[in-house]
Amino acid sequence: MFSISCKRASELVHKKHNEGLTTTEKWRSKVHSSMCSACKTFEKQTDQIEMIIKSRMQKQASTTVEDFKTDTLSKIIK
Amino acid sequence: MAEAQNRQHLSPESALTDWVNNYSDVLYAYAMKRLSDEGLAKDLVQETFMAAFQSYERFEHRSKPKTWLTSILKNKIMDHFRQVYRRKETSIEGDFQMFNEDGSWKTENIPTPWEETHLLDNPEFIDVFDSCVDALPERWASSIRIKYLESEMNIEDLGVSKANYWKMLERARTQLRKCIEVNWVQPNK
Repeated sequence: MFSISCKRASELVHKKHNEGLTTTEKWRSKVHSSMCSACKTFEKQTDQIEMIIKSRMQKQASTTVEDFKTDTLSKIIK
Repeated sequence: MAEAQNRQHLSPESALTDWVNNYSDVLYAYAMKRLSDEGLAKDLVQETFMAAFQSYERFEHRSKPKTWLTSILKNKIMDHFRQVYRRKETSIEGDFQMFNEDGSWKTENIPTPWEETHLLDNPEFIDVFDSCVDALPERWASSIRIKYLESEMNIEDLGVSKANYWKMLERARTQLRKCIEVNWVQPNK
């Protein structure tokens, strides 16, 4: 009942991060990962990538905007 | 109140100078948070000031300038993503044939374990990660950026169905994982 292919397991890993999984899908994914080291690694790495993306995409502006202000004013007010 | 009335009588040039000096930082940070691209963020903030300057007469001072400018910038960011999604997909579907017909991993695609701790504190890893994001097709890179904007925008407003959007996210993650494996895991072996 819970037997799924690695391809389906990888689709469920992505679905988890997109729309979320149903209870049955969670179980199928969990059972498959417990038996398949490749898919377990894939899931860990995908979870990690998602976490890093979130962290990196939310990084704050690091550069000074003083030059930007001068440049903007010179471009708009001629 | 007096200050508000006084501001209403500023010339467009004076108002713009005031706004650029007071709101560039916050608008740039807003754009960077959503775009993660310094050049693009600066371009869109400049376009925001330009649009505000051009439509200054229509600004009725019912909202704060910062609110008005932010709403202009938000629309510009949405327009940017819309344009990205209108462009044709240039990626190759075959890149993502990771599995055999029976649904098992192709030998060359079996995930290679990598060190799992403190990656965000590793500058070498972050360099590789950022390069991998930069190397993504623009639509996919935009997909992962938009994900953290979802509360503010409706994906379908960009002309993309949710199913297609999720597919792009899937491809982006898959490509990133592969890129990290090739450029960080294997060279460090």
